[in-house]
Amino acid sequence: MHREDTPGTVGVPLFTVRPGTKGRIGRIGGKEELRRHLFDLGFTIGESLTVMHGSSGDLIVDIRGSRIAIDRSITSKIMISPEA
Amino acid sequence: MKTIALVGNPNSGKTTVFNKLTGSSQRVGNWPGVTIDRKEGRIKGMDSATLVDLPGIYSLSPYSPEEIVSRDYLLKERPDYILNIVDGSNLERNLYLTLQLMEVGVPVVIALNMMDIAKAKGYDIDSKALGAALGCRVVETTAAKGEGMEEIKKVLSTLSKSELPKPVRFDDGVEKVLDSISAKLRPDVPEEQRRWAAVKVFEKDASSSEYTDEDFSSEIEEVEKAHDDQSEAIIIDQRYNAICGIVSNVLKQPTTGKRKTASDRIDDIVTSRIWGFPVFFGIMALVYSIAMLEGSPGWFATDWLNTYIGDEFIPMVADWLAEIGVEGMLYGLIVDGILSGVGAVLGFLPQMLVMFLLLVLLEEVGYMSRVAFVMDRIFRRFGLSGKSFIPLLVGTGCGVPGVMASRTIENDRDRRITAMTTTFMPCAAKLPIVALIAGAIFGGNPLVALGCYFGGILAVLISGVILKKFKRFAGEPTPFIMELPPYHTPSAVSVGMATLQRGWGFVKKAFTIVLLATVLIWFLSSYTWGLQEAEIIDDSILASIGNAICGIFAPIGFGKWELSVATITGLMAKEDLVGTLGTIVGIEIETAEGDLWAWLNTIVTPIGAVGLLAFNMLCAPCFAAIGAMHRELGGWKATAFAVGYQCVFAYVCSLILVQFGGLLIRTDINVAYLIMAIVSAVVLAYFIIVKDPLAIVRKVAGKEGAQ
Repeated sequence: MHREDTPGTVGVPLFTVRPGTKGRIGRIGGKEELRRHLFDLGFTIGESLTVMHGSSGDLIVDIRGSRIAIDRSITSKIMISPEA
Repeated sequence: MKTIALVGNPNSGKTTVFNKLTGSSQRVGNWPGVTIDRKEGRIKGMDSATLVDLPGIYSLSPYSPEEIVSRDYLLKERPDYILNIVDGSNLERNLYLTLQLMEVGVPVVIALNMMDIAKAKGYDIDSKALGAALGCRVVETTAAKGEGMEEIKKVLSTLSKSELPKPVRFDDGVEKVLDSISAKLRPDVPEEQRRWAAVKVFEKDASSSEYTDEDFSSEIEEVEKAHDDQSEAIIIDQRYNAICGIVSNVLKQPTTGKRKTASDRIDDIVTSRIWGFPVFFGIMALVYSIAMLEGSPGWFATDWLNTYIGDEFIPMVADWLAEIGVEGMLYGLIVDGILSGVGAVLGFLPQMLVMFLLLVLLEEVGYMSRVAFVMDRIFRRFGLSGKSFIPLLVGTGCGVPGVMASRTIENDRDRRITAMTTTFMPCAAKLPIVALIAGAIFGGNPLVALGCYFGGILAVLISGVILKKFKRFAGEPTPFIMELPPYHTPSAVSVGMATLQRGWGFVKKAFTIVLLATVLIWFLSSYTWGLQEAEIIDDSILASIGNAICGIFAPIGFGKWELSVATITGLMAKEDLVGTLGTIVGIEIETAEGDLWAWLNTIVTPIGAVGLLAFNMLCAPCFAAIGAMHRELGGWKATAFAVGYQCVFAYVCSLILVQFGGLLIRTDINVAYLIMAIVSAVVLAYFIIVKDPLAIVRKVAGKEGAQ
């Protein structure tokens, strides 16, 4: 629905943002299997998520009403465009 | 006979529903992956209906081994109905699986569970509208309080097999392709599965070749181009869009904005980079202190029970036996063999109960998944993932389910390493050993138990580093993704039940496997090879076996035949080590002064006790756990490698601890043993530090081959 297709607007890697940041998922990289698993968990393109806790890329995010812990190997593959 | 499959997200309360409907008491816990195996039970009060509890899953795509188990069961074994547990306090995520289940072609009943939490959050869910939107019957439940269970039974007994749900429609472009795929599916695909099959072919799923021989790539590509996305992602996206539509119609929620909940405030501390590990360490220290520290409730009760069994119960039974005329062999078997052996194990029951209670509390509150997240940061440095921590946690209760829990790890190599090393943790059966040594030798110091716990974790980490150097285990650690369920206050009944259940398991083992072993040990230690009654125990069969093998254990601090034999009997069940010593002391009591604790002090030094403890914590687990390892590793060769690795690793670690420890406190120095320890330490360090430790072996082998 809220897709941002043009390259360059996909935002910053998730591991660079601090707790409290809210943003929309722009792109998910990585292996096909992992991408599908993230999609299944609700990490779809355009969905908004909030970083709740964590540091250095090991984060706990709120997405679609639940808390998911993901480590740096994953947060470095998710691009988000932070909202003010 | 009707079969009903219980399907739902992890932590949706599936197992609680299962327990309530079938009257069984399967383990529940507040973390993803508590149920790893399929469990079956008969529904109470319903004619011939079997309920099958499947592992919690987020999706029917085969990402984790559990998802494969559930998907295969639903598609290949075809239950009559699906009972889908949906967490009412988290509709959006839970309905994603529901939408997939609706395509399987089996009637679906939805139990909208955790309604109490949903209501507490201010959610107003129109379950009638939800049922209408999905085309299936919806029952509101709060399984933890038993609410809605009768309604589920009522709905299940009136459901007909033709009541199929109506799968959600995708957009026109996708549906057009799905129609054209449907038309060309193999004729043997059953009518009710054609929707599922068409979607799988569209997603280019690996299973699509089972459903059709045609090629649809140009049609699929067209849709992919229109959406600028891959077909699979298009389906997922549209499912979530459909869910958003449904949820906005059926759910009224208060507009609170993003407030920090109580769970969040706790997580701010317990998951923080700085405080996460210290908090976990502190909690475990507290757990072991409450159970083991001298003067603590656990220690007090155990001390009392041990004294009661040794000074009152056994003499009482002995007097009674003498009174009714039991004497000789039978008297010896009952009093010296069984009562001393089983009694030695049962004496630790109070401490076990305190431990079980505290561990159950931690599990049900929801803290353990946070620890997995905290430990992930540490585990990753050793090439493992925090996912490996969950099996270790389960393994603290019992190694068998611990090894089985390795199934929750998606990556095959990490799964194998975890299955091989989980039994390093001090399981409940090893706790009597820990408690005996801590109590008899170290004055009940809780650091002994805490050392075993964190020593076990350290052993897993070091093994991770070593094993990752073998080609078959090499590779990046599994990515860590884990849902963290909100904390909740567990019900006293459920905690009490779970504690008693584990306590009962401990008692049952004492009266079966431990009892059998004590009979065997009594026989072997009362008779000579010529089957004559041994005048002193040193003439017995057991002593001669023990004396033959105890040389092996001398370098690691316990070269006494009694301790060597006890270590071997630990293979049957780890408690047997304590039971065996109890029996031996029961027979020796005339020659050795005092009880088991006092006797232990006479045959092992404190540093030797460290070796005894370390070796028994790390070496080959009991046969039951070896069996579980065989199932997870899938072959005797791999199992033999694992058990061999564990024994060698245990020996090396004990050797280093005992000899270097002895050097430190300047006692028991034996130059030959010390050299062994130094060599072992160098080899261990070599395996840990060098990138490819086996290269040198290959080089030598290659040269020899060339000659």
